[in-house]
Amino acid sequence: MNQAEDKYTTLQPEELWHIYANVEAIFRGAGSGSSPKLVGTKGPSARHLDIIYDPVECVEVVVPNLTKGLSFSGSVERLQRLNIGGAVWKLPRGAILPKGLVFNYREIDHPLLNAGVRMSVVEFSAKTLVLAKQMVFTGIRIR
Amino acid sequence: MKLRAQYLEIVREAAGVAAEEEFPHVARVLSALASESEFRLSTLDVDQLRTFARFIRARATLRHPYWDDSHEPYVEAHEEEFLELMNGFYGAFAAFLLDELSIAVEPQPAG
Repeated sequence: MNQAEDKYTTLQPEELWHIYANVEAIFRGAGSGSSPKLVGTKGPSARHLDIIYDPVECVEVVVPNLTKGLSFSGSVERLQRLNIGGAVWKLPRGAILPKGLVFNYREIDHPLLNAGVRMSVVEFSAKTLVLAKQMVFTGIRIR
Repeated sequence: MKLRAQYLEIVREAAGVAAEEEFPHVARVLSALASESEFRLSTLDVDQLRTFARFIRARATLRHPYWDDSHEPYVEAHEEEFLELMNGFYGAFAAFLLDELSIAVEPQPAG
């Protein structure tokens, strides 16, 4: 676990459920009925990640940034207070975070999924897909 | 209180949207948040920021009414654009309000 001056904390895969010890899952809003939509049709969001072009590898890469990431939530209630429309999905307790991905947080009820190491956008997308396959639709939709 | 650097981008973007929509108070508050080292929000500021977030949310629903794949009519393009906004500008702004300013768009959870 790495903690920055700004009080952001980075959780490695093996640390995730030790920190989120008292919740059954962490949640993700703005999904569809068939997908949590971690990555959009145009690829990972540059709004939430640091994505740069690597002129040596000739590919776009995700650079770790502990203040950024794809938003998750410690509770459904938080998503309702934000009024984030869409289907609510959950990452159940015990789900395995693919190696290389991390969760960052400043507020514990707002975990941010990001790359923990520099990796190509393609690799990041593939890893989020592995994670998405472990996610379950809660049956809740915020309209 | 001083705005954390990671929120500058979303606050500036929101200030631009507020200016375009001719929402003078919201534009002024957001511009001040982005530029001043210290800030303190009034009751009016909080109310206007919450109303602005609700406006963005309502506009997304009005522009993409057929986003919900559990109801007919459903249009895939509406879903894609609506969810992109929820995951993008709206979601980032709503999270900024809650995490940084302790302003919930819906103080009572919406169902």
